[in-house]
Amino acid sequence: MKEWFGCVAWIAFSTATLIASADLQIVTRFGPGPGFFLRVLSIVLLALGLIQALLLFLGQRRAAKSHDGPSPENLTAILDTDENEEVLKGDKASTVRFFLLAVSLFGYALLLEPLGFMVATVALAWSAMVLLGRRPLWSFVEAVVAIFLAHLLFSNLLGVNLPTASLAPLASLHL
Amino acid sequence: MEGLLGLMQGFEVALTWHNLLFALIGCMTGMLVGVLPGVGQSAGMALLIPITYRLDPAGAIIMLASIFYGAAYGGTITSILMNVPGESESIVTTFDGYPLALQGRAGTALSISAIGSFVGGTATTIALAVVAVPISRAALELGPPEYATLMMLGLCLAAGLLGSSVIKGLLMVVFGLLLSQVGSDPALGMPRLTFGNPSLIDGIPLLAIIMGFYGLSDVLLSVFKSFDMDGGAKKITRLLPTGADLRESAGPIARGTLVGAMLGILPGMASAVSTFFSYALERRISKTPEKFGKGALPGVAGPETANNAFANASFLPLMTLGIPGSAALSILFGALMIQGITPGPLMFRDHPDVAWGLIASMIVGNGMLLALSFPLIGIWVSILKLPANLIGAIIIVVSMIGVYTVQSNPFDLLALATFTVVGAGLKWLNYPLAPAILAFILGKPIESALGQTLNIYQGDATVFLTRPISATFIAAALLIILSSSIRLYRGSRQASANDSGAH
Repeated sequence: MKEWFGCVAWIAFSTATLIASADLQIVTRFGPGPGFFLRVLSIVLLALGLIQALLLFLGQRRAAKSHDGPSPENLTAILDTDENEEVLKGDKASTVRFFLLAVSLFGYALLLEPLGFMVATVALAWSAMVLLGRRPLWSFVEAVVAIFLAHLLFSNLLGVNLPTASLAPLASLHL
Repeated sequence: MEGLLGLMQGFEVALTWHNLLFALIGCMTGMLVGVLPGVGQSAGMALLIPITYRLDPAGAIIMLASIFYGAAYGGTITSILMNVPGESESIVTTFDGYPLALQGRAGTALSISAIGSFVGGTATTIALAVVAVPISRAALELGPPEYATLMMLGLCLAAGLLGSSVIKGLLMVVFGLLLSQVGSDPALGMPRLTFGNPSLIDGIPLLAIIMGFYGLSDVLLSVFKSFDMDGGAKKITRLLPTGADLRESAGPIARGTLVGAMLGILPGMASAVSTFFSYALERRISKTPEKFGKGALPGVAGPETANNAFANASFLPLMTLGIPGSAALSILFGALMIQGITPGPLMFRDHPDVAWGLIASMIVGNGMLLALSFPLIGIWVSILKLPANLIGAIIIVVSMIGVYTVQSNPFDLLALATFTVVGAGLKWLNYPLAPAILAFILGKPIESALGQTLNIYQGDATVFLTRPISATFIAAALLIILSSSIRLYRGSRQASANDSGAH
């Protein structure tokens, strides 16, 4: 099921890029136009997605492929080792925490300038620690101390211009 | 001779107190990220990139390169003491390293690894210094068709050599190339896939992709993983090897150096292949092959040496051809670009201080690793007890601050969040990310080289097949994809036959 999801995603993505690049010129009088490689790559991606779907279809009719891990007796299995070999054990709570972590990243991106560096980053650090499994109250203290130190490092030592809050009540506190 | 003079010039740069300090910080950070669960070499380098902005180019690159080879040694510690390989190239080390630790010889295995890494790394770096300038000059003679096909060969090596699916590797290459298409096109400056967003005119921020794929996505996925690291490390009794250990390891170290150096110069080659070859070679020529897998010292000495020799040799295609061979080197490539230095044949002419300083710093860094590895092993083992959730939170905050500080543009943070989710999704679906990063970095140079070729030869694409060098590169790329597909197909058939036999 997971593999099929991948195939569908690639086919959808390549179709979307084909549509998005429809207005771009393929050839100009100077040679390949801005849409040339984009179009070629989208078509290749679409073809690869379809080939993967076909292989998956054929593979499901054969016996499922089993993998013995690499060992001195099975040395060539090292070549079959994938970049991400770790087993992910998902339950409902972990999935919720995963999505909340993702939301906190997007939230930080959107709220950094309105809330300012201090407030937004403390909120991010605290939510990350809690969602990753640390105790809420103690994490808050750790987050405040860590972000104060990070502010000193980036702003004072490295001279980085960190944003202060643009929202009225926080801006008046120079946060 | 020119290379050795350049190396002397490099030592003047590498031996300044601040560059020594950067190399030390890099080596320590590298060993730390190699040891820590869930933090890889690439993530460690990505996390430190923002801190390097305000450093001079030589110092910044020296620090990042030190992380690169420091992490290779950090992975050895967990492989030998805990049977936990950090990255695929360390898997081989567990075969004999952990049995040695069980026999009470963990210290010997670690010290032989450190000595082998030092010898392999240093010898390869000296060879790199000698051949780098001639290869850079030869690279300048390559025309656009050769360059384009050489880069594509590198991508095919990255996609097809390692892993359980060639098609997944190829999909990720094309995905990376497509991502590189976002922004203005190199010929006419027309915006592509920007959807009217001015922040995308310069393309997707490199750091957002690197940190999203390699730093943050692992942290997000860590909620689905369990880290059982406590109390698993074996005790170290005797650290220094005996004369007999050194004599037994001398041959494997010499052969490992050759294997690692020869494979490392191939762009796109995976480091795990060098450790695999070295182990297979040692077992084949050993008088006691039955000891392999049960605690044979040559089974640790050879692959560990090959791993470090490979890491140092892989700088050659980056510095002479501008082709990074791995995800970690792609990050170094990105860091060089951020510093205003284009890796490639002109690097030795235009930025000799950085190029030679980097090469000399590798010798200094390897010496530091050798010196640090013995006294600090206890500290690395205790660091393993740090809570993974705290490390994860630190990575999240440092990555977000780091990406924002580059351009002070919140859009970069949105891009980072997006690629974190995309990276996590791809990892969950078991797609390799290294080919995508490599393709993203090489996308624009490939497009330029292909465009120039088609311009020069008036749209005649057969030129790639009629010029001997580019035809050779294309044939080699096809051979790699075909041979890997056949290997995987046979493996699958064998597994199917075994399964049906078992039922």
